[in-house]
Amino acid sequence: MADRVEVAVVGAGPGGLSAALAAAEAGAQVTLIDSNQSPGGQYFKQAAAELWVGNPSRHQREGQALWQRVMGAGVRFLPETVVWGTFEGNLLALHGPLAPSFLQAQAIILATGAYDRPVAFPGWTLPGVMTAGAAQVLLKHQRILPGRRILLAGTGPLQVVLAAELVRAGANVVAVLEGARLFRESAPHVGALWGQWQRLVEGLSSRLTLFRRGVPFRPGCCIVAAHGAAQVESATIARLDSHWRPIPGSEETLACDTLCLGYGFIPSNTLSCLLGAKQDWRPDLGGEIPVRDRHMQTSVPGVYAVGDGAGVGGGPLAQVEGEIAGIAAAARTGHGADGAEKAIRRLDPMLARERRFQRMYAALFTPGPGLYEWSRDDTILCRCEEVTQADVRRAVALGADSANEVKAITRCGMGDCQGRMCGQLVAHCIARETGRPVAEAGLFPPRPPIFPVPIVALGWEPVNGAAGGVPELARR
Amino acid sequence: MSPAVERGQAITIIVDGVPLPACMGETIAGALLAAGRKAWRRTSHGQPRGMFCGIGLCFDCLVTVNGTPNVRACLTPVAAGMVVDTGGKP
Amino acid sequence: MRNSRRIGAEVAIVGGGIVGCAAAYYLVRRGVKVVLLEKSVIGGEASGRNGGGVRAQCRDRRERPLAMASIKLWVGLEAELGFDVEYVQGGNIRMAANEGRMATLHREGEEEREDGLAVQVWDRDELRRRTPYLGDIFLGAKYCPTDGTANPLLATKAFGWAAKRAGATILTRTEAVNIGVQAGQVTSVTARDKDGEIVVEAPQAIHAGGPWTPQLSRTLGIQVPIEPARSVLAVTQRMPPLFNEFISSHDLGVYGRQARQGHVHIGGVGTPGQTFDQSMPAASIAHLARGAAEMVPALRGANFLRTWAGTLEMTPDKVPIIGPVDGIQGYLLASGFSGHGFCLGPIAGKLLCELIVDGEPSLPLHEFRLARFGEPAAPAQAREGTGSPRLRGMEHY
Repeated sequence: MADRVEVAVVGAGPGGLSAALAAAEAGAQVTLIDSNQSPGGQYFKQAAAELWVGNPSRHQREGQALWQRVMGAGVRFLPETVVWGTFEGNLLALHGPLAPSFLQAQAIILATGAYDRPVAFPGWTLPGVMTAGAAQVLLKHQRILPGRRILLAGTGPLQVVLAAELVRAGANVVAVLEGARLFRESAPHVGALWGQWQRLVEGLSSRLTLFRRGVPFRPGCCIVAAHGAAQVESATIARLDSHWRPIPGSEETLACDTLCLGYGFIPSNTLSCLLGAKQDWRPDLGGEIPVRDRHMQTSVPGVYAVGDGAGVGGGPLAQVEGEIAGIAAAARTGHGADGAEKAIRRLDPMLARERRFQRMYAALFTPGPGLYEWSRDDTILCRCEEVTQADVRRAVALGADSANEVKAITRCGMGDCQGRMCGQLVAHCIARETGRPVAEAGLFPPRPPIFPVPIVALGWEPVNGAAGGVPELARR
Repeated sequence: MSPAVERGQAITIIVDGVPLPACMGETIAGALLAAGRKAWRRTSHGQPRGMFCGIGLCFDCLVTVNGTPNVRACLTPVAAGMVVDTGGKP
Repeated sequence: MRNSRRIGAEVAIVGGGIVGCAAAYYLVRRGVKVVLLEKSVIGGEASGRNGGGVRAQCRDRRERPLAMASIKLWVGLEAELGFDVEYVQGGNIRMAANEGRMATLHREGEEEREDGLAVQVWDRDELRRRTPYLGDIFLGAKYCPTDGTANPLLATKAFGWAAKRAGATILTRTEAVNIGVQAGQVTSVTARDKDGEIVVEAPQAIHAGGPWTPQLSRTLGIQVPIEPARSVLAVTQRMPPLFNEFISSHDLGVYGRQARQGHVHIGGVGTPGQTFDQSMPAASIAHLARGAAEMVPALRGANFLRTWAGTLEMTPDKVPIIGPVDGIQGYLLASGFSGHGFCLGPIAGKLLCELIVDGEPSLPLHEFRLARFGEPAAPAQAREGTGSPRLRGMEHY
């Protein structure tokens, strides 16, 4: 029933792959878990196995190479496996075709990544409005275009790269709206671009593609509303002030049938919360993230967190953090402890470089507070339970001053997504209504299962007193 | 689509009783989008929804597959003869 | 510490669960000045975490008249409070999976009918016919058509809001730490919030503190034999409409109801261990899953979406303690509802109000006196300080 392993790595994106590789190469026994069929996460997203792709992207090739090394190091991989809960003693509860129900790990490395930031504005729940990540998955994994007339709205170079990929795949991209008013703010950060040659090349070449195809790139602009009867038919855009508030009178309407929102990412820190790791509120890094030491260890001994799930910073940062955590976790389980500190030190320059890039990115592309004011009272904030901003405000007026109480009254956060989509939207709304900081409003406490799990997969029989049995179950 | 791609084997799935062409390797959501359908679910208040996050976190794209409700279309690969129901709640 | 804030009141109520809030509501409607002190949020504990069953059947005989009277209040609650608490009088079914339990249900049914509760006992065929959604293992059941379900969170909050609208002072995140007594008479309740101390000067105190009652009643020198116990629940994603009744099986150890939007709530019968711990043991999740699948086979196609735990307050005879305490004037206990207090909330509140305003409750409370436990047992080992561990500093689900 419960397997034991020295190091469990949750998430097989760049952070998890690097962590698994480093731990295994140091001699630890490693199990790598991912909810997808194939490894790579979003960053190294591969095409579906059934498609033959003649020209995988540079990222896809890099991912494949890393994967080969991971397999070569003897890491056990559990695909299509979800970690849905944690129990006493860092016991992980799993659900997947090849997975044991429980995994007892001496060290856990969380590399759970991040997900596109949901942004609420009138019409954002119309079919045709999707995240940039959704468009990425369709394109990279299935080679399907998300729509015919595509408008991208967001911030940061990723959506420029996506727009170029869409255009090269034959899509009609109407425009790319960038929320930041770049030129004024970029100058101090130019130094952070040193060493980021691949990113620069990718970014510039994407901009060039868009330029050549006549796709407008519009800094200081945002989406104000999406319109349509049963799906998106047009969008109203506007120019933004430096606080990201739409400037009245600057509105325009663009015809489109697809809207891709790329406003940054929210770290998936749910597991670290369940494990009891102390959290920090860092809006510049995406939101709530676990506090870590220089070995990427959280406040819970033996639990490490790396990559976007511990603070949005991109693939290369995730890889170096993963490597550090992998070395540290292996040392903790008695492998390679002697050379560990030195090996970690050797990664300092790369870590420093990626952190500089992370800081630059955060400085340029963290959305301003106005982002949370694009919604109106009749705008849905909780997609799952269809709770509007007016409902949330009414709950606050009734005396609720925390996300949890608003949830009890309105049902927001009780839906299938368990508050991932609406959490920060609701927190900001409460903060505005109560005049108190966002961190005080709080987020919805996670409870197991953190993803829906079939009842038939949960009814395991208790193991009575057997050594290695799940302690809680044995007590029955 | 990208030129150097061979799509997966062509199959048929049944959506709301009507055959829909799809290719192996696609998800149910992908097949629906490729067929031009942006919405395939109604919320409790009757609002249309389709794909939003694309990675199985938003639960907008739910369909019933071979009788099992609450299946995320964006994560579920198509299979020949799969029976998909989008109607009503849930 | 800053200067104490002092508030004057006629009645101080400790506990913002359904009993405390109902008492506040009924009192303030009769012109009494009330201050309610709740250590977290209204309905933040058992009142907001329970399975949502509102039943008169399957109770200790002493509770039955109270439960039956409370049901009448539930029926009119939406109109009374001006808020939809999702009350549905869809019936309650207690199933039997063996002959022993079937016999118990028959006996209980006879007694209930004597007391005026119109229950029916169904054999296997009738059960199959009326409730085809139930699993095959049941031999029969007892059905009470006037029982039902409601939304626990909303019901408790609705009482709180109505009380506040009618003029009650409700202080949340304010924990009562001491009940002041002089010459055998209650004089005040001292509480603490984030800004410091608050003293509510009142000659009467209603103590509806759930499992935290004993630690506060000790400041009065009273031992209240209430032990905490963990109660576990799970909820599925939305399912197609399967059933309207509140169903329970003590043989499987689970109960269930399907809420308004189709989510099926499954709860555990029985109380795993004396604890304030509100984390969810893996074994409990397994127990709920197994029980759900056997009780309602259609749930084999369902997923659990979320689980949560709450803390019950158990008395030695599993019947609540309601009423005054010998030797202390002005102190009313209302606690120990032992896992089946949700239905009794409204009537308990009303009776407490009547005790205070009319000097006498409309239903006798003698059976619920604290003194029935005789000499108090030695106090149990030291309790945790101020309540149970919290996740992320926040409350329930």
